[in-house]
Amino acid sequence: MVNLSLIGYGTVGKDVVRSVASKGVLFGEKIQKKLVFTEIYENDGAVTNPKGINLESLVADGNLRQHPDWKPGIKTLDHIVRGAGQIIIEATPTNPNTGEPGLSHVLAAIQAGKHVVSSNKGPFYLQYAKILNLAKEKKVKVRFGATVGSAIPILAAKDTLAGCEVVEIQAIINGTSNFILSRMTTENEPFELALKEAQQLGYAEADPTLDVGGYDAAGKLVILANHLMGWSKTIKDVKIEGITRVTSEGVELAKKKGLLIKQIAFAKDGKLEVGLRLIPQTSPLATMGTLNAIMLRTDVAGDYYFMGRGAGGPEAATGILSDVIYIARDLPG
Amino acid sequence: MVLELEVRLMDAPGKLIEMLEPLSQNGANIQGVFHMHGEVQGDLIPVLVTFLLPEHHFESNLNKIKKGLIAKGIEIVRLSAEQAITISFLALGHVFQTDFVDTIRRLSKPGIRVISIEARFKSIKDPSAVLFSIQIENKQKEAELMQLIDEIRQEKDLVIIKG
Repeated sequence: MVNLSLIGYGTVGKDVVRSVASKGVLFGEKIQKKLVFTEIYENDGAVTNPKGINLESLVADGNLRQHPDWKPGIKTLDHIVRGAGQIIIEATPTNPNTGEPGLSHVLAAIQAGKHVVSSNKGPFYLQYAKILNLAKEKKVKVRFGATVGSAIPILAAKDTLAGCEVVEIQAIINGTSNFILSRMTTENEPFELALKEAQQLGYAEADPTLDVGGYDAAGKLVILANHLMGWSKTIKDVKIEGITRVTSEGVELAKKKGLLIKQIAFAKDGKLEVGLRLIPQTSPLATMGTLNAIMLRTDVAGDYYFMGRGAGGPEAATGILSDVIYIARDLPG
Repeated sequence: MVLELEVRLMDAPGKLIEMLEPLSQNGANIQGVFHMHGEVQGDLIPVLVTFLLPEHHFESNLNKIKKGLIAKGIEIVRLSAEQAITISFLALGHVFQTDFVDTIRRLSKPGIRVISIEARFKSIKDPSAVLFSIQIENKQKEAELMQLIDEIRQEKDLVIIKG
């Protein structure tokens, strides 16, 4: 048995629980161990049971506070250390400036000798080196595949492409911006209308600044470059340009020339940039809608492209559980 | 296409004019002549000539130039052709309201020239979209062009989308 603690019970957290509830047997067969939740934390309390939380009622109504094991007032940060969880899943929303509360959760978990899986980007684009160094010191595993491209196995390329060096990254890693630019291209919509549509479909937040301003892509780019190229950058090192000033006229003119306007994240020669680029409509990066596309250029083995749905609850949950299973394989149980 | 020719000439009056004759007689547009005084060998001085040779009858004109130089007893040290590079970028914003002629002029430097522009706009007072195609004579000019574009972008508050 492998004990899991989940911090954050929003869209992603709920999908992680649903997935374990519905596919737990399958996961168990893969690793010959049963995955159980022993803690599910929210900001005003937690459901805890060291023998394993019954997930049925949670899956039925999704209401953490009605669960028989709900304990109000539990402080996540205090409880992580003494909880039964062996793998801590951090899925809280990101404060882009501080990385909190996720950063403190991650550091506390590692300090307590627990393994960590995170879908929360903030701690990793702000304090990548600190987290990884502490994990090394404490001999625990930290996986964060869901922070970039959700279930796209892009961070795993560090292992799967270990025979070569990544020398350049070009990526479309913000689904919201890609959706808006795609609608401007295919439907000739002005930016404002495409944004409103993205908000109505749930692809953009009420305050879309992090997405359309390029900050979300910048954070992910930092994680990609640090992890795959061995850099030690933070989001402050990224030159960032958003998509808010892209006009219908510009999109139309580009289209007439067989080009697309895309927000591309670049890492090359020690420099990081998120900016607008004209790319051929035939480029492998010319994905439309919310799809993500990432190109890794290697020193000896050419270019590799990774593509897929980079956002959404089930996609992020898949990324998280892939990391959980990776760690759980090596745990006694 | 822009070419670079390196020859060794007698350091004497009239030798340079004599060397340039086969070029000018065969369609070459001389862009620069550089005497490498630091590398004089005896009474021979290395000279570097940059010239533009149009695509029309390129091969036959280039052959005539080579034959003309050899006929004059001039030693060709190096003759290299560098394919000119075309770079496109889209400018968004008040491209016309911020002195369009000035923008074109500033993007026209030795080895850098605007070869086409295409625009979309609702009215001349509204923000416009202009696609610039710029030819640079070699890769080394790219950094200079990018510097020029960035200066214009900042000064005129334009969005520049590079190709």
